[in-house]
Amino acid sequence: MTLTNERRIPNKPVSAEDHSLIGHEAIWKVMLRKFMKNKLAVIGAVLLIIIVGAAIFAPMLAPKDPSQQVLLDKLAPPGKDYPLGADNLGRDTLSRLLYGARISLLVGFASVAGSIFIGTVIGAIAGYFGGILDAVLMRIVDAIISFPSLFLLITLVTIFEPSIFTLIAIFAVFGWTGTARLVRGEFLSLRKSEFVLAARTLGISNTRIIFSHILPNALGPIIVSATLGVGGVILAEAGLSYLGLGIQPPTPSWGNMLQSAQNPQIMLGAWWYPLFPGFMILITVLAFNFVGDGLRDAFDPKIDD
Amino acid sequence: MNAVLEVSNLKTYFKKNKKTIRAVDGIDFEIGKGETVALVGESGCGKSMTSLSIMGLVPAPAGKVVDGSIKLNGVDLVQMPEKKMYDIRGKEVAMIFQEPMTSLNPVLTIGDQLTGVIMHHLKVNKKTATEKAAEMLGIVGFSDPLKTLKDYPHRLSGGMRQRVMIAMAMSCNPKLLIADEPTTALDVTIQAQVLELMKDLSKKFSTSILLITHDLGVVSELAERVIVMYAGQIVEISDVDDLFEEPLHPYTEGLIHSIPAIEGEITRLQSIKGNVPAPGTVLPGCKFAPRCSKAFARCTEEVPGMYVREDGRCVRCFLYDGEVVE
Repeated sequence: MTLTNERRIPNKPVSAEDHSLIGHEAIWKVMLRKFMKNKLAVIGAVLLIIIVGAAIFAPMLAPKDPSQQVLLDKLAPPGKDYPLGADNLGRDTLSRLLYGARISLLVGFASVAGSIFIGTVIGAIAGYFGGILDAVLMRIVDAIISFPSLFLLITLVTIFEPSIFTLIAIFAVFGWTGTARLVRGEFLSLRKSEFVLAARTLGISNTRIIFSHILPNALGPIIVSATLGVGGVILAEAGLSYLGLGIQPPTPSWGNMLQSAQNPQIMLGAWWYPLFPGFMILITVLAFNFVGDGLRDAFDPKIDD
Repeated sequence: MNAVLEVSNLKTYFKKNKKTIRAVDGIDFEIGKGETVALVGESGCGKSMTSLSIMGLVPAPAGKVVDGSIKLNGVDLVQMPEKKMYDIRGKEVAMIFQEPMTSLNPVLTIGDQLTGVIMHHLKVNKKTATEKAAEMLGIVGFSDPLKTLKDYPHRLSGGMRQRVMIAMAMSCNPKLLIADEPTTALDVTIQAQVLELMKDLSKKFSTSILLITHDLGVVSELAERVIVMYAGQIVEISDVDDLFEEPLHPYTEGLIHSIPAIEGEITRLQSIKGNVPAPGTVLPGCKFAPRCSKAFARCTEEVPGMYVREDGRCVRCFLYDGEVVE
């Protein structure tokens, strides 16, 4: 019997053109197309661009100084002088909304950047190494999650002087648990993949495998969770400011603009005063959620475009 | 002795639910410089664990190399601290895998993956690494290496990805290349090309190859010597021609009879009855005895040792007790 098989084929060079049977398109193009198909996400993205643009160019766009008080004009209705009315100290609501957007978005983005960073590093380490390290880190996560966070926030804010920086720090330090769980889950499945084993057989260090090989593969869910997180933080900041524990006046934030409207006479008589900041919070958080959902669909290979 | 790899009495055990599974149970073999040795056997016989043991990547903490030594150019890898293994893997020993579709990172370009390895091991800058990467892609048969460097793996077909894997594994000129079923996932024409490529490269760089496979066709194509493994042990070591001409161990014979012959009379294809013993089973005698058609009383009572025949062939079977030289 013989096993020599006559199937030698000349080893001629192959080029990408000969064989590119699969996936001509760059991944990001496919994702962009999927994202553009989701109308709500596109609306959200447009709104966010407008809001972020308005915040950046607030000094140019604002008609008045946001802290200039004209007591004679207090609670002025929307009109020629005050496009969105004036507050109880006679400050222009439009200008305060524009400057408030800077604070609210800054707190949102900075806290989420912080919490995503902490959550990603901890989740990556737990998921990649597993074992006891994973167990310990995840129990810490469980412990933080089981804290009544609102009361903890209130307590911390009363202990530390409530400034933009302390708010960001507190949101970052207590907001990373969800990301950590998410990233851990991604790493648990990715660390078993063949390309990770292949990278290890090529002598690539654990640190490099975690951050340059696995992390880019887990980026999709992280971006989605970050987007949704910004909306959440803006809401939380508004809540704290509403209680007087957030951004302190005279610095305007959407939350503390609502705070001074906590008065039945103002609420009923000068509806424009609480309406606009409330509306901005609603629109912004909705926009972030829409974009987050759109990104989730775009990153999910199981959803066809 | 100018063996590149000397494995002696290697034992890799796994602990599962307080049971010890002897995945690799005391194996000895050598691979000479530029030699291609095939390691064959059924699924679960310890082939892949042998390769992971050599790489120092046995899944911890369940698995562990408990005994023996793996000497690469005389240096024992088992005793090597993990830190130093990072410089061994990819530089001295490299590995290619069965699934080219999944063994490249989907989100990094071919160039990133290749230059990363080259920069790490050869301690060169990005520019030199890119040149080296392009050169390697040219060697493995890409007509436009600079363009391929910028491509993502999903643009390439399975055969091309396996070529990239080979380029990556060979880029730092390793002494030993472990190929774990390198062609199983490829279609037949591509298989032949990849085997041809490996043969050329092994000659060109005088790299030794440990070819892990269950495809005897691939063995006959590429290997010079064959190691047959069964249930964590080596049952036969032989030159490839001798093995196909006259298999000694009943298990090897069974393996060869279970592939269809292209020439000669058409006979019924034979299979080896029964299954590989479940991992963790301890038998008093030969591990193959329950499935062996030639088994006799002694086989179930005593564990056979390795018999070395006059012609240098090794076999672990009592049938050859009379022919021992040792």
